[in-house]
Amino acid sequence: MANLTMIQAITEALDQEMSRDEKVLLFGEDVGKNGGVFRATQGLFDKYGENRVNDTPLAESGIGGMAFGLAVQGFRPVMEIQFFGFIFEVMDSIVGQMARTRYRTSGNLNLPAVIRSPFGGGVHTPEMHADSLEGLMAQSPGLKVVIPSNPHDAKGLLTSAIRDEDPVVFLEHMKLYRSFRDEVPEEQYTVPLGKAAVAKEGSDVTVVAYGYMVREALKAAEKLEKDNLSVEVIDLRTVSPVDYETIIKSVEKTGRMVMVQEAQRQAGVGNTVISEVSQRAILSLEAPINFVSAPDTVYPFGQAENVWLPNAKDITKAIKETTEF
Amino acid sequence: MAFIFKLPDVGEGMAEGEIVSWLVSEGDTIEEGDSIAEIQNDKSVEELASPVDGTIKKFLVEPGTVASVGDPIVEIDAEGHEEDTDSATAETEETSEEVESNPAKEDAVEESSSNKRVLAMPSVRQFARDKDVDINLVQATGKGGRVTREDITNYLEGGQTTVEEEVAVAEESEKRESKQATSVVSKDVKPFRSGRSDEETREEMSTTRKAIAKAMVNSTTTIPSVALFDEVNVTKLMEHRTKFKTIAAENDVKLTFLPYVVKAIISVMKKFPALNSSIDDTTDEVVYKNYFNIGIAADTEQGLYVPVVSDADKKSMFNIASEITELGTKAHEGKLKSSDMADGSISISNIGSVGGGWFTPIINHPEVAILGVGRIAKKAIVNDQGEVEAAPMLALSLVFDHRVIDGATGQKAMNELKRLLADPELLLMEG
Amino acid sequence: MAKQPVDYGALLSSIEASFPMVQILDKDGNVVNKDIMPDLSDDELVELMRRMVWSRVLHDRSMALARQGRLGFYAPTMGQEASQLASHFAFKKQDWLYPGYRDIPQLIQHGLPVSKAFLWSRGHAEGNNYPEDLHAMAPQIIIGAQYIQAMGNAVGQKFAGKEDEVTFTYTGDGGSSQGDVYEGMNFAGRYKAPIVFFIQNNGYAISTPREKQSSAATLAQKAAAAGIPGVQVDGMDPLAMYAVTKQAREWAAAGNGPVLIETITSRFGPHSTSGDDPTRYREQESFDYWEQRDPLIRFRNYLKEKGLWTDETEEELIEKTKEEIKQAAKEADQAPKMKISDFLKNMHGEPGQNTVDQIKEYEAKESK
Repeated sequence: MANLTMIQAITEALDQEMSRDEKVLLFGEDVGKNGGVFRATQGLFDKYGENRVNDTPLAESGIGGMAFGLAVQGFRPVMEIQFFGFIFEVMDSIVGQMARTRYRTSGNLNLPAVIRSPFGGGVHTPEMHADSLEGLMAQSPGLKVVIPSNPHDAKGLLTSAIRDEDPVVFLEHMKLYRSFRDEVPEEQYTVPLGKAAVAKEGSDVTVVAYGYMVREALKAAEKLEKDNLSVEVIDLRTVSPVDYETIIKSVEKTGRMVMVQEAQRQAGVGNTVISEVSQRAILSLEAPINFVSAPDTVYPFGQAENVWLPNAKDITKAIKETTEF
Repeated sequence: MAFIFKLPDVGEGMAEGEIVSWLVSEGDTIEEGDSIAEIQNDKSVEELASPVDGTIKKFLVEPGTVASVGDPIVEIDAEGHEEDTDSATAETEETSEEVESNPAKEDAVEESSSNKRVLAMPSVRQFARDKDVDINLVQATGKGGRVTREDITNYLEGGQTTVEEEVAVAEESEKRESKQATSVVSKDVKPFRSGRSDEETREEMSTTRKAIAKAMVNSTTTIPSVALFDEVNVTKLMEHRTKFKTIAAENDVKLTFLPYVVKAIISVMKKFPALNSSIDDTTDEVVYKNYFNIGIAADTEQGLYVPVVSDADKKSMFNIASEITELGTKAHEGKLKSSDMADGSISISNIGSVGGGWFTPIINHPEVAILGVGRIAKKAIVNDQGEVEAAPMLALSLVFDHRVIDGATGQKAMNELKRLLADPELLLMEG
Repeated sequence: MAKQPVDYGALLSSIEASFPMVQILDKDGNVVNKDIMPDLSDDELVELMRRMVWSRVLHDRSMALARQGRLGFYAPTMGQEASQLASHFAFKKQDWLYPGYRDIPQLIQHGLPVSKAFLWSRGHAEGNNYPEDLHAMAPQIIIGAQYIQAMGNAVGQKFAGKEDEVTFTYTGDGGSSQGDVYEGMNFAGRYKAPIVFFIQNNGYAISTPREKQSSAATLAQKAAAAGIPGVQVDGMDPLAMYAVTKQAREWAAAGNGPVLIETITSRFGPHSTSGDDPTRYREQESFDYWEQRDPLIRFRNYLKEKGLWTDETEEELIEKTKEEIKQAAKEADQAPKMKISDFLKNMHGEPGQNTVDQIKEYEAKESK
């Protein structure tokens, strides 16, 4: 067991999987010698050489097309989009092409590509860096969208993502990269895609969150524990496809649910989860499902970030509204 | 043997096309792929080709007419097509699957015959269904008038009055019968028999009346009550009312004495919180209420109802006055909702309006006190100067639950009430 | 006044001058550039002609089937036979083809059964379900997207150390304006990937003429910005098409990186069967001009001159091809009805919880 930050856990996952499977290739902007702008690929260029870890020209669409073609040629491309706000430049490759390939060819051709990308608010980036755009991805059938909330899961989920036979969008919240450490086994392991985790058990109310919001939800839960409120926190880990079974099981136990997402309210992952829970577990609900999210504006200017982003206080308030309904 | 050629979609999403001209004549021999017609759609002119070898038998559409995609346009005598209705367009049609007609959901509607919508979370509704409880009959005690899971449990355990029952409260006690008289209610029910039944008529008690009866019995058998009678000089109050009556009328408000009493009793309850409480018999807890919902008993053709002026402490005199009028109207029209009658603090029963004096109204359980307001009558009193004078005196009766309110507390509360009603300006200062 | 630092006008002219059009046969079939005549046997010459005639028949029959409502979307190819079939003639079975939607003839020549091409046109999943040994992608609908994918494919071939195996891809004059076309060429240049890019410049992107796409005098010169060779070829000349393509393939396969080939060609008909009327944007003179340059005319003349081709040969071939196509259309009619449950199963290797219930629901509907 090593005590690793999430970025270290990610590097370790890439390293171990590259050494296990020579078909795994890493590429993107500045991922080579520089090791990526967040150092996620630190040391891998020296270890595996330019053919397996390489700097592409600065063109996201080209990176996406390259991943597509490499996968057709039997490789396991792990492409990095430097910041997820740049995804619009490569939407066709991901949503229009990769996500559809298995369907388009009646299962004859699958596209085992991983699209890694940092995202998330609270680190004072320029515009188009911090947006939570997972909802755009989650709406596309054929893609898996994974968002780890801690170093341990990050390593296991990324390993699963690389081994998955379909395109996986793997989103790394920038605020989680170095904010805390976690016990991470040195050996390789996988955390299954499409399975949520119970981050904390509780009996009074279920909080469903993902990514950095899991941290805030846990803070809120800890605080409320002192008020004798037992909060169960579910970490989605995969936001598409969602593990409804775990959520429903929890909601059937607690009878109450609060959905938390950093993204804006309209459409998106939270609404999908709420909609499904409403249909599958309405008879278990003792109160309407509450929803904590950012407001429906464009991701805000840096100095307004902290008032815009949802936090533990918002979550605490929502939990109380729900339990005191 | 005829092949019926139906107009195909020869453009993307073409819905109809004009047959500009037939490029062949009836009787012509054609080969598959030969152009047979020109079709004008909204984008372009397209040539239509025959899908079969054969002889043109009959045109079904005149040149210059517009046909919809799927319309038969020409009959072609062709090898292997016997009364063939199948055509090239069949494939595009296959996608329109029949929408399964959903067998009417009417039976779901049948269930509740009553019009009012019960507020309850689906989980509670399911619980009620599981327990075979008609949720319409359960008294809601939850926030916003919602039926809670506990309400259903209570209902099942019989510890709860029904919605109809809840509305009833005592006023028949004009007779000044002592509480003991009504409390001796034997569980053994006996039929009413008399020797003069031919001189009697029998009518079935209405549901409301039954509910009232049940509530009365429940209150009197549960609560050991004490009654206090007193009176207060309301000279200043009358002057005050006369002064503002016109202004009130201009605002469409009927200003009676009741709003003053409401204001005053709130002030009293603030000083004596025991009056604004309930006993939770399941936990032996006294529940003190931090809200002031004042019930106003209303006598209607259907029976007795106690609608509530909720959060009356936050309302102006005029607002209270008009709300009392409004609730009265609703009661008479039978339009009160259970939420209009929920969560009372204390009730006021006004018998003075019909000439009554002192009486012992029955407490609207689970409240712990009820104020009876009698008539205002001129009486000879000795004033502060020791002179006898005629003054308008208001009769007040306070009945309270001795389990939570001691006798002295009751009288102190009565004294405070009198003080406030004697000088309405105090209400301005303290109310 | 000091001398101007740059002569911009001269610079522009020099770029244009660097991209002359390669031609071997003139419009009447006369050899105008014997020096670069490709080394093709008589049999190969005849085979190339057969493929071009076959493609013309395929075009005619596809248009007819479309007018009968028996085909869906089809992009006409008449006029582009040399550009398509003679270029394809220079590739090998192991090479990977990333076609645009007008490149159905090359796809079929590369190994796609005609019936499957028809199913694709009609909108049937089986149309994209390729035989395993067919090294090709389904026709790309997003104009230009095939360039970056083909590039990735070629980078993969290089990384995998594949020998004598390249990738080739086609777009049009309209497609050349797409950013992906530049990104594909630029990446391929940076990785020295074995790929041949084609821009079939047929003059129109639906209705928008070539000159409205770009101020570039040639589309071949776009290669220069990516640092790769670009060449313009008479796309109505099968021998020039074959010769230039063959050399490009060898160049790429030898590890020198990509080549861009602009073919100067024309489509004689509408953009597609989706109700396009070319007379709205194209003068009769344009049709006349290009029809005189029909690749079949010049190659027919050339082969007849050599005694390798007769009208009877052609007639026979046309009839034979018609019959083949008729059979293929019938075969396509037999394709099984598609199932939504199959679509759902083909979204992921393992169905997610969202699709599990949906699969059951549709399977129940479909079993009725």
